[in-house]
Amino acid sequence: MVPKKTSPTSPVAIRGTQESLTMVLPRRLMNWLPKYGSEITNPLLAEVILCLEGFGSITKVGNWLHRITIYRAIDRKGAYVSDASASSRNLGHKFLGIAFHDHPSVYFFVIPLPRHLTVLEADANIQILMSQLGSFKHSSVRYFQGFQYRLGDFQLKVGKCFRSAPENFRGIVLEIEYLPLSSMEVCRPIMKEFFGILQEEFSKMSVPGHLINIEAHFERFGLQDYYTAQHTALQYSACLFQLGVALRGGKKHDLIISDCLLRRS
Amino acid sequence: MMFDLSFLNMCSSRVLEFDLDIIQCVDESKLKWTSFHLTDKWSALCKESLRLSRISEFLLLNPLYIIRIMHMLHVEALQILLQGLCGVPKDRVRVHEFCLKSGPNLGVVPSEVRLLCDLAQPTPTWTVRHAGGAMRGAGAEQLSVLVRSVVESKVSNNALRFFYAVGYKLDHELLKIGFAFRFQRVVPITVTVTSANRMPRLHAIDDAVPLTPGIQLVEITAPAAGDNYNEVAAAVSSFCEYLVPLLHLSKPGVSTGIVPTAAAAASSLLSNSGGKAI
Repeated sequence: MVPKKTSPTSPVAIRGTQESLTMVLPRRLMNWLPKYGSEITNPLLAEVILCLEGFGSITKVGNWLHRITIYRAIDRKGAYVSDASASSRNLGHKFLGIAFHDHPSVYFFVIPLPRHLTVLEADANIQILMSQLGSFKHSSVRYFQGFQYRLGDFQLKVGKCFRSAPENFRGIVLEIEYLPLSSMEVCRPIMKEFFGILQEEFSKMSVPGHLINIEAHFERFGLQDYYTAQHTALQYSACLFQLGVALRGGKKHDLIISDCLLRRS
Repeated sequence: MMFDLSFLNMCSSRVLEFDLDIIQCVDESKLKWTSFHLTDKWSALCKESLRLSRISEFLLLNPLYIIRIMHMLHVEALQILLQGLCGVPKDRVRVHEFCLKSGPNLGVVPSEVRLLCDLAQPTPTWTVRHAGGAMRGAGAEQLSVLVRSVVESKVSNNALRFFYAVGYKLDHELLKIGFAFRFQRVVPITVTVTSANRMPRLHAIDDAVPLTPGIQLVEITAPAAGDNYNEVAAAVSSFCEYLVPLLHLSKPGVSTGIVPTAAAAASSLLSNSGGKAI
C-alpha cells in the first residue's frame, strides 16, 4: 500500500508502506467537555472515575503517564524561529514529540502544520539524536496521567491533562481500546455502541458534561485503516489541540497550543 | 603501466566512530600518490574516477590486463579471508544513504544527519544516524582509533519527508553496495566491504554508477560505551592484525602504504579456494 501523501518528485517516498514499527489494537480517545459554565476540576474527575468503577466487572490494572513535548526550531542565536520567518521558509518549526507509557521503546513526532502533516515513529533514543543536532529546543511539556481499567474485551484509560502540577489540570480524557480486533472499520460500530453505553451511565449518574470524540484526520497524515501506534499519537496530539481550543474563551490556560500549530489552509 | 589499490579501514560503533577521510591510490609507474577526501563534494571524485576509467580502458587493451584483474580480485580474496576468520555467512549490503544538512540559519550550529535505507531486506528499513565531533586531547592522540559519539535510531519510512519538513536539505546521496560479516570476537564485530555509487538523477538507484571504480571501503565496527572504548579498540585492532596480508589499517588521517604482500596473499587465497569467492 502506498502512503496517500507523497512528494511527486521523490520516488523514495513510495518505497514500502507507511507501516508502523509498533502494531497495536484500535483505540478511541475522547475528551470530557464540561457542562457550559462549569470547569474541569478534581471533583469532576473523581465523579467520572467513580462512575466508571461502578461498572460490574471492571478491574483497575494500573496507572499510566504519557508525555508530549512541544519542540520548536531555533536559529543561530538560540532564539525560537518566528512564525513569519518559518512561514516564508516553508519550515515546520513547531512539532510534537510523544512518549507513551505502554510503548517505552518508541517515540513519535507529529507535525500538525497543514503543509507538512507528518507522523514519524522512531526508536526512543531519537530524543538524544534530536538534542544533539542543536536545531530544536523543548518549549514546553504536557502530561496525560491516570488509571487503567479492564472491562471485558475493552481496556480503558481515564486521566487528566496537565502542564507541570498534576493538581492543576485542564482536561479529562478517556481512551477506549478494543482488544479482539485490529481493523478500525470493523471496530467502529462496536466502539460506538460501547461509547453510547458509557454516555448513558454518565448521564444516569448526573456527571455534568459529556464525552466528545477526538477527530484526528488520519487520512490527511497518510495513515491506513489498520490501526497503529501512530494513530494513537495523532489522537493525543489532536486532543491537545482540542483542549487548547476548548479553553480559548478568555480564560487563562496552560495548554498553549496556539492556532498556528494547526492553521486551517 | 599499472596501479594498485590501498584500502583504508573505518571502525565505527555507537560510541567509537572512524570516518573515512582519504582514499589513496598509487600509480606505481610514476610512484605518485593521489588522495581524495570522500567527505568533499563527489564532483571532485568523479573527475578522478574518470581518469581511473581511462586507465582501466588502456589496461584492457594492454597485455598487462591480466595483472590488473588480479588486483581487482583482492576484494574476492578479502571475502575468502573473512569467511575463514569469522565462520559465518556473509550478509549482502545495499544501502541508500541520504546526507541531510540543516538549512540556513537553523540551529545554533550547522548540523548533519544521515538517513540509511537498507534495500537488502525484503521490506526496506530506515535508520537515522548522527555522528558527533571527534574526541580531542592528548589521550585521544595516543589512541590508535578516532573516537566520537554516534546515535542511530530506527525510523518509519517517512523520515525523509519529516526532516525536509523541519528544515533539513538533501546534500548528497549514495548507494553503498557490498557485503558484511557479523560475528563475535571478544566483542560483536561487523566487517563491511562496500563500494560507493552515485545517482545521475535524484533517487535513481537503478542507474547508480561507481563513484570510485575499483576502490572499496573496508569498515570494521564494534559497539562500545564511554567507559570501555579502550578495550573495544584493542579487540578491533587485534582482529585487524589478521587482515595484514591484504590490508593495512590505520587511524583516519594517517596514510597507509600499499601492502607489499597483497598480490601474493590474494592469489594464494584464491588458488586455495579454487578461485571462487563465497
